[in-house]
Amino acid sequence: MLNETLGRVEHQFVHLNRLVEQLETDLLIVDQATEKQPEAVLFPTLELLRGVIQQQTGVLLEHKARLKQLVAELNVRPKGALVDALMLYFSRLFAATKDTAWIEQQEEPENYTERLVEGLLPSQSMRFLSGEGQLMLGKFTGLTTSWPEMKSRLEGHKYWVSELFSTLPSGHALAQPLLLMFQATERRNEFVDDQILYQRALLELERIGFSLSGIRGAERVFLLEKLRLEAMMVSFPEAMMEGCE
Amino acid sequence: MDDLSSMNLLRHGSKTPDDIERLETILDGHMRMIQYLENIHDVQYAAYCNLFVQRIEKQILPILEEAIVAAKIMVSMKETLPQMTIENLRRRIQAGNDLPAYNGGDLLDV
Repeated sequence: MLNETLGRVEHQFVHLNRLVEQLETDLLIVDQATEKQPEAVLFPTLELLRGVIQQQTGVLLEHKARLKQLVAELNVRPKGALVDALMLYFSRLFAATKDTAWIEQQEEPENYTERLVEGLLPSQSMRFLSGEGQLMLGKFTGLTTSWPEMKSRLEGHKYWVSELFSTLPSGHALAQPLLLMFQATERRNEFVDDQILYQRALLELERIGFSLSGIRGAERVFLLEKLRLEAMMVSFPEAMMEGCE
Repeated sequence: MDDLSSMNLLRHGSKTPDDIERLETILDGHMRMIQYLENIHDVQYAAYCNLFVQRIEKQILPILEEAIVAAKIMVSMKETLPQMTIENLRRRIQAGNDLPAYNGGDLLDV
């Protein structure tokens, strides 16, 4: 059971890493459009998130290695001191795994508090990553070529980040970096919203301008407002191939 | 109505149809004034009249025309416009409203 649990958690960490990669790609595309250097907090936030995932994955791999060691020792020296030490090592992990399995069988599993064990993910996070999280990954495939498309991707990122965040118990190591990533995504979402608004406003001004054509002063007002809007508009960045800078 | 509540009304756009009517009345008054001044052919006043006409045409009419267009845009818009554009349009309407009111140049017809 422990081996199976560790395998599942490892799999979900892979999904989480892929989601983070997609998020980073999209945020950097938006930053590229703003023609400014990416804001200073983005890279430390990404590093923090990656660092936590890496650290948790590291502990998970250690659990896996020790489990292998335990199985081997049980075959060779079942009553040896190393077996006792390894059993002690796994006692908390094993209890947590059993607890979680029991909680998952209950009618309202979200009402129970799980043990926080390094290297494992809470069961609600596992459920999200293996279900909706995977579906979300599917939505992030393919190239983005317009602001409305980017808007829906960023909404998708905001969704998975906030949903995953809500599955974490307070104080979980992933909580803080996820919160910071949500804020970074939100800021870029506002920029993308503005770009979509400018595009729509330009069309709206053209529509109204057509209906008011011939009125004295109309040309001056529309020309100036359109120029102001166009000055605020940023074209969607062209996809850059790796190594073609 | 105090200044603040008047500004709030303008901010929410509810005054805009009234603005169009008021601005068009002011514009109409200035157009009548131009006509009136152009019909004064007395040599003694012609130069002054010409100066007044030029001032109205260059300094007042463009502001009023643009204010009317801005108010009409506010009334016609179906999609939300950016805050920046809304502010610019409001500023134009306000500039027109700040000009001295003319009652359609009625007095000139007497």
